Amino acid sequence: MDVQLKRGLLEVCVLAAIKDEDSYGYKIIKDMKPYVEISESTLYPILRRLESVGLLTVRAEEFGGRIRKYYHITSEGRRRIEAFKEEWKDMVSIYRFITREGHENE
Amino acid sequence: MNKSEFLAALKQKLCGLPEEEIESSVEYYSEMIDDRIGEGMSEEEAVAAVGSVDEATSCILKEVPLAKLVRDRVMPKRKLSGWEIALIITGSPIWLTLLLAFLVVILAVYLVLWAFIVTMYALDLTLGICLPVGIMGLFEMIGRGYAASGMFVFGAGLFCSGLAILLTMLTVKLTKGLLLASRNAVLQAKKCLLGKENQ
Repeated sequence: MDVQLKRGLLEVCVLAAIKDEDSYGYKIIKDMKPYVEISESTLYPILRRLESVGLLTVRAEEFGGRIRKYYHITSEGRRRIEAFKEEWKDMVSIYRFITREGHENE
Repeated sequence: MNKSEFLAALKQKLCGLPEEEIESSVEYYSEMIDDRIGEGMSEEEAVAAVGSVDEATSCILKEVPLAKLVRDRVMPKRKLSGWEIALIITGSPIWLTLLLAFLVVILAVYLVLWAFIVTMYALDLTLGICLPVGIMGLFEMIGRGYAASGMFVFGAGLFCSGLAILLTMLTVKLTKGLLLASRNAVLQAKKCLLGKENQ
């Protein structure tokens, strides 16, 4: 898949992984695993980027004697998911056009 | 490799990035390894599962703009003393021209590579045009009563257009290769800038 496209998709996936409750790095990877494989090294820059553009916030919490970072989706982040769903409708219709059965030859 | 070895190696590779950038990366990978250990993995297994240090470094570096790296790495952080400034200015006829020449040579080589690819496309197109020209030649020659010459012209046209197809496939491969190489060169340049203190 095109690198830029895949990256954009993964960004929305990560937002979707934290939309119901705040989550941490390893849990995000595990939750996504049945649908899409993402490695630690791929996830890290995505989290950094989403934070820098204000789609999620980070807080550090103590867990078992060490610090764990929890990621929280912002309202801007939720809007990004909704915008993606809208964009996807266009994608589906483009897909239908590309894969349509040829009528013109019949 | 155990956890502290992994984190130390990561720190070393990122050396040169802003301090908070390194700190944040190390914290992230440390948390990832701890979370896997918490789930019952051994330390070695957990480290192996988060991937290689090289992969981690490449992913982090791709996000840092080259311009920012150059600014952080090449520009001195302290104020320059008077005589250093004087030295830089008096030496500028030498180092400025050398630097410019160096950059221009790199740019020229890069442009030549692209010019070569443009030439290849032009060649593909020219060879491709040979087929319609060959067909026209065939009728023209038959019309004048030279059927054998017509067949020859047509055959040459066919041969050239076949060559065009093969060459186009090669040209597309070369174009993709050059694009990929350009991207890698930027990544390597970043690694080079960071690498100064690692050696």
